[in-house]
Amino acid sequence: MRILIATDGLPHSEQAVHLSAKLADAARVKLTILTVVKRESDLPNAEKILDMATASLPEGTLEFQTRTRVGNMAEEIVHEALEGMYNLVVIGMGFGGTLLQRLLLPTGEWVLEHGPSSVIVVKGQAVLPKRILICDSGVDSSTLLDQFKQLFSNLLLEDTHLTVLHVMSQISAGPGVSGWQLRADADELIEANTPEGEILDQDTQVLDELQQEIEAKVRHGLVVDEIIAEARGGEYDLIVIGEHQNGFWERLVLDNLAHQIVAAADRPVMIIKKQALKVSPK
Amino acid sequence: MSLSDSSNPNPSTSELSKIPGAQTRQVLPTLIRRGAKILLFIISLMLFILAILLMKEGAQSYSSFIRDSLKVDNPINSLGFGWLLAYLIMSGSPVAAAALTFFDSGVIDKLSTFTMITGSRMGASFIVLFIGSIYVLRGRDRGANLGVGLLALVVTGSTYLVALALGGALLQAGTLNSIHLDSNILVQSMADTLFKPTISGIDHIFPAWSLFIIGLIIILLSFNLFDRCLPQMTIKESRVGQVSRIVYQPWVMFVLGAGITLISMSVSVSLSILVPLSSRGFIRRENVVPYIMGANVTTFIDTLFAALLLDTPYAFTIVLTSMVSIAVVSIVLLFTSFHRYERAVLGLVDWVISKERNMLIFMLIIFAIPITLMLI
Repeated sequence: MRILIATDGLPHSEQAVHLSAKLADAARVKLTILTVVKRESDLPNAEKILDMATASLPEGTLEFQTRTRVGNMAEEIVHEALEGMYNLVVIGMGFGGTLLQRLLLPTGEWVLEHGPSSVIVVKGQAVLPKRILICDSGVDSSTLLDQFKQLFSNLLLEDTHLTVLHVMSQISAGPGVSGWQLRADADELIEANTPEGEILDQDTQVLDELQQEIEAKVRHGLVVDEIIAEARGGEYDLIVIGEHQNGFWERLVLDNLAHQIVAAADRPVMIIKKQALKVSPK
Repeated sequence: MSLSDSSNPNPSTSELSKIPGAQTRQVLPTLIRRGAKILLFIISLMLFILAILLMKEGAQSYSSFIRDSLKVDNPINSLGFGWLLAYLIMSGSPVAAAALTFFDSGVIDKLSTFTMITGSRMGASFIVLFIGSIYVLRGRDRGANLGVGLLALVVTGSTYLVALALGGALLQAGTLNSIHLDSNILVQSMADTLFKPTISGIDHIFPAWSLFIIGLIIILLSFNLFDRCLPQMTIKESRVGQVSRIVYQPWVMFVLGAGITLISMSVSVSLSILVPLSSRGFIRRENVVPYIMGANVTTFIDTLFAALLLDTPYAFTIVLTSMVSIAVVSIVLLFTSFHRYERAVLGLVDWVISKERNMLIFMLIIFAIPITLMLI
């Protein structure tokens, strides 16, 4: 397992450094701290940024290395992630890139799309997660959970609470449609073997291997709003979501809910990459 | 071979392909079915033209009734009139067509025609709400049966309210006056040749005032027949059928709603097409609002056709103004503050269906507004 933290020295990066250090410590792996400057002449600045980052590392951080790259922020993070075969990239929200780049595709999503690994976008207070909200849309559930298990099998604290959430934003398309499922809770859907119930049932079975406290939940409403409401109401430390569909047509016609969740969240969001590098054994 | 095999009433396509002549026998009913649908489409089109011409002939008789008895003599009155009439006959398109025939006969002016058409759209969504109410009275779930009807009403009402102001301004300024599409002589003469004897025959038997009513009944019949021609299965089998599972970009659903309504010519029919699209009859909240917005734009297509049948160039401009204004309002909303708007309309719908008292208040409001408009 290899963790890369990208920092630009600004306050939002500090939380990202903290979280990365705690994750690296929990997994007992080496941490790489990366900063990117636009020009060679900015290299002295890079050193200052890295000094600040290493100084802010919590006491007892096992082992770390620093890296500096010159060029475009998002592109260089991707190059580093590819060359170093990192399994997880952690960045602070608002990090890097030109304004146009941020508007079109924020750095975190750019890194996720072009890089080899899953990404944690750190927002708000970052603590080692004890309450994790895993949002499963039902599309590619197995990949989402497999990747999560690979990354977190060594990172979870004891008694971590995992909640698998499925949001049903459906309403009846017309009169005469039986609508009990549109109000039902997770247990009722699982018991009735509805498609949503089956997703949640499978998810809880897969996560059982992690031997943590697991809960299945269903919320009814707009997907993004319900995820954010659940994250706030349940005081989760981390929201886990799958990446947006990457095919040309999918990107053109499907709404990018991952982007909307990251933008609306007030706490760290982990976006799981579908075809991420496999985590090698310790 | 077991008995059950030999008596299988629904052999699969692969099984059929092994039986000599079976494919021909399978293709024939499909061809007949398609032929029947085409015939039904032609009949509904003919009935539509006949209805418009009959309404045109009879509209003049209602001049004093509308102006003096109903007191519809300004654009606000005609907005309420169109709205209530759409409630009454539970469809918007015949009311919009009626507005054009009234304009053609000089019963109402251009601005009143525009507002009456807008009113017809406001009341058009009532049909879904009405059917839903019947299910609720029979003890079915309120949210599931009224949700989409309410949503259609709220989306239509909120967008058309803004479009009303924009369209009114465009019409007064004469911005679209230069765009005329006259029905060509061939269409007119064909309509005259085909339908004049029928209209004369009806005119001889029935009083002049009844022509409008007969026309209205025929136009309702033509829409009913037209609904039966829709290629529902094709839609169900396509990728569009995934509207219940995936969240599409709002503009995609907007285009889809506009496209399907362009074919079905009715928002309520277009919405009812969504029911068989998923096995459970569900649609995602995120998808349905832009779908309704798109449907609201192209639902005017039949009114546009009716305008062409009337030999009044300005009728076309009025309908075009309605289409342009609602399209502009919807597109601006879609690309500027769609999610805020979506939350607001869904929030209102949730509030209405949460309690019987709220539902009653909502129903009172949607009846009180058009009645008040009629009385102003």
